[in-house]
Amino acid sequence: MAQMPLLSLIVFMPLLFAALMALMPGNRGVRPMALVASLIQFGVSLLLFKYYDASTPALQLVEQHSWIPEFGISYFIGVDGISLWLILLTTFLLPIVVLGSWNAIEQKVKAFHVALFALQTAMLGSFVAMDLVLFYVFFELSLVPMYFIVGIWGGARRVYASMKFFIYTMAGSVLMLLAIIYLMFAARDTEGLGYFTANVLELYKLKLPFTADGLMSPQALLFFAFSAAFAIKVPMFPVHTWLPDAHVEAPTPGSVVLAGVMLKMGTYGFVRFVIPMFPEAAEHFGWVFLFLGAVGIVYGALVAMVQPDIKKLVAYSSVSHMGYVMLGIFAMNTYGMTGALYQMLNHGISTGALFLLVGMIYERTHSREIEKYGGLAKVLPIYTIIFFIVTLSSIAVPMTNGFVGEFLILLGSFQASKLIGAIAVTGVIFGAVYMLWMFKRVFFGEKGELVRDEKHPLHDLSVREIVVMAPLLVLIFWMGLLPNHFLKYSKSSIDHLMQNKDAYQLGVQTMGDAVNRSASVLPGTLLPETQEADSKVTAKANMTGAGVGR
Amino acid sequence: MKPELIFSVLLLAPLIGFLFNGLRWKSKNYMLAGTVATGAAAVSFAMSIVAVSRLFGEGAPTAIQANFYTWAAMDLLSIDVSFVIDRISALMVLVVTGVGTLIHLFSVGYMSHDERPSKYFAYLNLFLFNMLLLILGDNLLMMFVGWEGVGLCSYLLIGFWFSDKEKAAAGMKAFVTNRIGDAGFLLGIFVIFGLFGTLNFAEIISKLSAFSVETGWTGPITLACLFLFIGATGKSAQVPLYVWLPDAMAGPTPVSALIHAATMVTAGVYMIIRLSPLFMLAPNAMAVVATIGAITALMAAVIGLAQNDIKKVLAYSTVSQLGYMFLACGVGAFGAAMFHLMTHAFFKALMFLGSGSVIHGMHEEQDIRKMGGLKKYMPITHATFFIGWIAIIGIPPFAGFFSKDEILWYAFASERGSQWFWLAGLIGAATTAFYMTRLMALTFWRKSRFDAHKVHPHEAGPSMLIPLIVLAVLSAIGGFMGIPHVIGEILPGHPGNWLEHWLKGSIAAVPMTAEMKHATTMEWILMGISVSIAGLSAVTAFSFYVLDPSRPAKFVSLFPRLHRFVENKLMVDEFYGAQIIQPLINASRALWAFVDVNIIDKATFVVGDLVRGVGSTARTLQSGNLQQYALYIALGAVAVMFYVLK
Repeated sequence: MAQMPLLSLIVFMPLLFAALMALMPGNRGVRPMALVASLIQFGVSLLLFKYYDASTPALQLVEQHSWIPEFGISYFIGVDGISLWLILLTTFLLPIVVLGSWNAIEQKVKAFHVALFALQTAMLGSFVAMDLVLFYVFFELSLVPMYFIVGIWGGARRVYASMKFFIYTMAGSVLMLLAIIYLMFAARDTEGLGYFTANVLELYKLKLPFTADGLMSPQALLFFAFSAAFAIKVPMFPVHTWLPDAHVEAPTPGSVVLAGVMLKMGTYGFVRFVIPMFPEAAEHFGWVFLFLGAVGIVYGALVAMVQPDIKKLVAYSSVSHMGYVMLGIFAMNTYGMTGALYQMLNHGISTGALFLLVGMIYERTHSREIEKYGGLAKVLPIYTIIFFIVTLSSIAVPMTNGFVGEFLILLGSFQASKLIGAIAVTGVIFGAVYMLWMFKRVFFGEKGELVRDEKHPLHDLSVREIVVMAPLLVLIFWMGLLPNHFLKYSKSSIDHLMQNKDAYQLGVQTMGDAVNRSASVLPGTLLPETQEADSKVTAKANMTGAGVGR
Repeated sequence: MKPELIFSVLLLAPLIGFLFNGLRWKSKNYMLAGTVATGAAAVSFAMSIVAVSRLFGEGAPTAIQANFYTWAAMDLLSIDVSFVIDRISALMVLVVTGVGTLIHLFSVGYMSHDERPSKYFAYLNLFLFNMLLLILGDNLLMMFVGWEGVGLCSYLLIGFWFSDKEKAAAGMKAFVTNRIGDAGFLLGIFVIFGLFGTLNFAEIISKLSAFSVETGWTGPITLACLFLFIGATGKSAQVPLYVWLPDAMAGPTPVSALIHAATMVTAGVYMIIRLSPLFMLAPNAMAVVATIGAITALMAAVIGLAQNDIKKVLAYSTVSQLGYMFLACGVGAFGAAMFHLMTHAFFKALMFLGSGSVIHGMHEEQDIRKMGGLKKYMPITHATFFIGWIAIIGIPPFAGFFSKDEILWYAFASERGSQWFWLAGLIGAATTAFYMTRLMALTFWRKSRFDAHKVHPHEAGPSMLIPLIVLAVLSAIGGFMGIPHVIGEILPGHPGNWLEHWLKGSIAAVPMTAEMKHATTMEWILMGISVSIAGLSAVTAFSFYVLDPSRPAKFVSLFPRLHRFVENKLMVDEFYGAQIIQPLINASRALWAFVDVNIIDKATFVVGDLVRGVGSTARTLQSGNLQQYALYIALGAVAVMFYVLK
């Protein structure tokens, strides 16, 4: 078991399922199979808890295989406290999405699920890849299935939206690709490491020239190139305008995956690559992102407030919520970073839940116009209660998950900059305004035209729909009441990142015996605490190794 | 019993009640729902007595504590879910669970005809749970959790009859206004954390000795206090954030009694009392607290003069009385603030429940112009309301006299007080006496102004009358826990000021100015002035509304515009709507239409067009036309020659 490539299994299992589904004749039976497959996938990902060691910041469950040795590119994956929860969020949402789209997707069911599962592999791959080229491949691959999901199963303006989404993201990615190539050459330079490598752990060691006054120093340019790609993905104000269009046109499952997981690929990129690889630039230009994050919080909330379409409102609320994440990351302290990681999960859960709920009512009335609703609470009580709980999570009421993230982020950003913190805190007010105003108009008051319609009485949630929402509701309270249950798994990784942010290094911890085949080629730095931390598994080998591409 | 067990039962009883009624929220069985909810509140009350009794006696601990689990821990931040009953929270927990139980009991009768009694009681229990978190939490974060939790329950209960658009709007207004305060509270928490590296009350206070009194406006402690006070103005309905409370009367009347009079709205006062040693170091912040308190006390009392909805009068009265509590905090009389908090909880809960009894008996009529003469129909309600009335206007020896007079005395004599604060309080007291007498007269006295054939006012059942009677007793004798020394000295047995003694050492206090320390004569004189002014004012109101009912109309016709201005609540809501809310919505629309669509998207398209433009221009270069190519070659050759020969 120790040598089982668990991470690879988690990453590629969905692709395998996608292939199996593609081979199935016709569309019948695809949904049950997808559901079972997604549950298996989530079950397997839970095995991470068995093998993951929370006491060390080191990269774990690593697998490394040479891929293009001439350029030091390898299939190198691993997990630490920064990616652990994102992996689990991704696998957790899949069964919910499959079950949630049971009725939403009516055409080309098989093709849809193939795309969905392929997307899953791409997203998981980006969270575990520790080789920049590998990361880039996964990062870009994720665009393709999403492009199809929006473009084929989307709404009326789906072509426009999917093109906008694709081109926006590609524009950023191109810059990142250039930066990756530059980085690899910089590594080969004699001033660098002396050999080609795309290994992230190696690249962390690279000291890139940085001059405080110049935008033109290599580190600053690389910083902005990577940041551009990730900021678009997040999306951060002012490059967010692709998001509302994509969300409004995407089918419900597309929106859930997009908001739930794909946006996190951007914020994850900042934490994993931008801050540790370009520490001085991040320190020096961080205020830009801190500022834009705070502006995004308020801007997203204000624009969300005046949206006539519920789904667009939720989409703009995403801009606001992701602004919190950016703020937390660039607060550059433990509170902000922890809050940011937590907020990524919160946003995945609460915004995912909101999109599902919007989808459920849309399936009934085929309208998302707020003005046409009103008085829903009388007609759909269960739907109302669930929507309300998710609303509470979204506006960060204490005892829900949202509060933990927002509190830590605001605390961290206030320690970083009082002014920015104070601007961001107003988001707490505006968040309540846009959500509660919408809630009031949709659920309270007299019955609106869609709700009154006697010919088409609305039915409250079905058992399937309740089952879809239940896990999300449980998590909302679990994460809100017992945040430490979740935070403790990320603590050592975040502490390590924050304490060493000027010269970040990440070691690896391997499991199994010392002559483990993959361990013998592992690069990385030995960390003092990892040497001691071998109580759980019979033998843990910590190897300092040379780069693969030497 | 171990402290852990005490706290568990104390906190979990209402939570279990909430879950019980919440899961069967469709049930119309008000008896079962009410019994469970009231029982849960009573269990909490009993546990509070058990807990508080531990603090009495020789060698008793100053506090009992229980730590449950770690909520979050990182870097310097370490937040535990832990609770404390010390001498401050002991008083508060008894008031909250005690008055809370009575109001639960009252609700059983009041909500018996409602469509959703189980849902109502579920919310009421949830409120109690959150309120207990707020007062028992031993750190600012736990307090904040309860703080927002009670706000949420308030939202749910104000909008309880949500099919009515205005009631739903009132709930939202309450939540959002509170959120403005909460944002300030959060900033206060952040400043405190930056300063002390902890959010635990005891630790913060123990670290204060390293700090000295701040003089300016920008010192960290002053800022922290001001931010926290913003939080208090939201929750405790002070100027400029008081506007939600009158609208909150849209909720069921017992809710107004519990949440919007006796308990939740006093949370801001309680928070400042808890952190009194911190506020002591920020005299400027305290001056702000006192000033806002005085302004609110006056302004709300004035608005209360011209309201015709029985609950609105009481709501403005609550805002005004809360102003007194902040005035007390601001001049450093934290003990007096606590005292008034408690007596106010008794008499205002009493009067709200009394108004509930009236509304119930009058078949949902709330306009006092359509009442009158109810004394004869509802003798017990009248008698208890009468006690509430003399308690609030400050007639000795009823509860309000002691607490209000203590506040006025400190406002005058404290080192951080001034004659102006005293004067504001005095005018406020006179105004209070007037509008409360008006309320009494229009509701209960003289002839009935309703059609006795259609409306048959009746006294309610025992579940509603018992709470009224208990609260009336408390309003009558509650003041004896804080008998001032000057009075105690002349009474037989020389009773001391029990409350002052109890709180000594737990809260800070600003000393009296040197000349006022032993100025007993002065204290007697001021006491005499305030009682006689209030009495005079009540007599005037009596003559207006009972002896010569035509006089108010004549009087008002002297300045109709001023009257309309007061009747319309000084147009504050209109001002906020026109100056803040509408501009914000317009600005947001502009951001969306202009920034998103016109600037960002246009810019994106420009880039796109540029790329395409370059592409199509480049394409013309390769037209396949030989003559064109020849031209390029010639031009190129010329250029090269020019470059070389230059």
